[in-house]
Amino acid sequence: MKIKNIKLTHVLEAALLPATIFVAWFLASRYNVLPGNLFPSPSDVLAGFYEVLNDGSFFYNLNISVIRVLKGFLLGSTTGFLIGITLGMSRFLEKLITPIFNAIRQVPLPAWAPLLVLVSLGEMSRVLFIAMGACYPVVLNTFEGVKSVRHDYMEVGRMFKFSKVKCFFKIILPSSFPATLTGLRLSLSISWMLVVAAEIFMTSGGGIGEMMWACREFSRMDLVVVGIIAIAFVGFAMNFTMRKLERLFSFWRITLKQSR
Amino acid sequence: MPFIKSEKIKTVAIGLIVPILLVIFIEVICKLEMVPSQIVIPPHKVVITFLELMNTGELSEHFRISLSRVLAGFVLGASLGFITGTVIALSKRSERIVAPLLSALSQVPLFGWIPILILWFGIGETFKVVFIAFGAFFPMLINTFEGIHGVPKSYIEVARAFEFSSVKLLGKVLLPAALPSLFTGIKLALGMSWMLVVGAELVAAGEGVGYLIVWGRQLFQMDIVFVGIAVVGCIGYLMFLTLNTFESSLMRWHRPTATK
Repeated sequence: MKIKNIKLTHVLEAALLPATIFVAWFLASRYNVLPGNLFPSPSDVLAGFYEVLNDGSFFYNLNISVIRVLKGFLLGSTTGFLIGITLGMSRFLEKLITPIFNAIRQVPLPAWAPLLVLVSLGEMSRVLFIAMGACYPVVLNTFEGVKSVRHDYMEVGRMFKFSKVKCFFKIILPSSFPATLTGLRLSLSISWMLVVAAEIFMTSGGGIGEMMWACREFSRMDLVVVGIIAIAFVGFAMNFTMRKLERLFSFWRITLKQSR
Repeated sequence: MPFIKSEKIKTVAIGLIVPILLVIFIEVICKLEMVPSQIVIPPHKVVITFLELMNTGELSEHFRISLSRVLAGFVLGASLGFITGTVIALSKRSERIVAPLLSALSQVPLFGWIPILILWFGIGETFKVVFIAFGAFFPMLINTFEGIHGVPKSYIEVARAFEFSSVKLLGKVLLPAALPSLFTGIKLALGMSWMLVVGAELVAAGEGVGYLIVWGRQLFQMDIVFVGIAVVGCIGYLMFLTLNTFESSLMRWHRPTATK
């Protein structure tokens, strides 16, 4: 009984701040304390949400963004995985490629956007922009994963006279996979952040970011808020799924740790 | 000793192979006019443009403006993140009250705040500083929190045995022990700030290095775009190096953490 009581106060404490903000927001918009066009009331936001739901623009734009992210993520993470594996496997290529890779990585991602606009590839430039951001974490994590494959495993492989290909598929790939998965999770959340950026920097392809950007021009703050809540939810859902996946594969990592 | 030196020179030399080949390759295909000259420009032209922009003082002016924005946003965001992180690490109750709201806010992809912040603050300096502060806030918050949480219980028990006051406990035990994590937070926050200043200057600015890149794009001058990209990359890297040097001189007992 006591445990339940403590939990109840915990829940109340957690709800305290959001509830206070919500009530203050509601009251402030009700009594016109704040300018309504900049601080839309909760009911305005809901009405705006119904509006974009009914004319179909909400799911139309969300759909475009999600597909765009998946394209960029797939392109970037596959490339990143291949680069990471290659750099991890060959010391020569590591020395050859790592410096220029690190140099390119220093450039803040938004800086590439104008260049991609100039090259004018249309939708492809947005996908490439996301792919660049998606690539880095996968390269780094896969590389680390391959590098930290334990020596005894390789020795066992050598003892059983595994061929190089077999060594790769039976030892290196499985034991570096958890690290790659961490990279993939980071990569997906960066992709989702960048899709919004891509749609703001490179407009005229649709998408939830562009919807928000257009609503800003028409001072439709309620729709901007709808957009923010939507991208936060999708971002959360993506992160949640990836974390579940990571945990699903973590029995792998646990057995690795126990054997240590 | 000379052996190590020659080894180092060899590593650097191997690292330079790809960039040099790339430069020669681009110079050659530009000479032979195999690609449209507006899209691929010879590297020597970028250097010339860089020197010109340096001579007229334009580049350093843009740089100065971007840097002042970054510093303002970083100091604001990182100090708020540090304070909040310390408070919620020290008090379980404040953690329960603040954490749900903060984790909801952190789900929003950073660039999604741009439309809302522009509507609130206009496209002036306030918008940029607040936007950068947003980006600096979360990494600093998380790393401060985790740093203080990760302080071994035994340290705190020793402090308690010596009857340290809570201020002394914080200043003499918790913060020094959390220093590596704090530095990770500072590095991530500064890297994020630098990325966001470029992003903010892409959408709304009349000066700054991000604007320089957009300006080059509007003039259809690829060389200016590339100068901008190279400059933001180098400065980002210099910031990171400076922090690393500072970190290792401050904490001789701890190896610098590899972030970014």
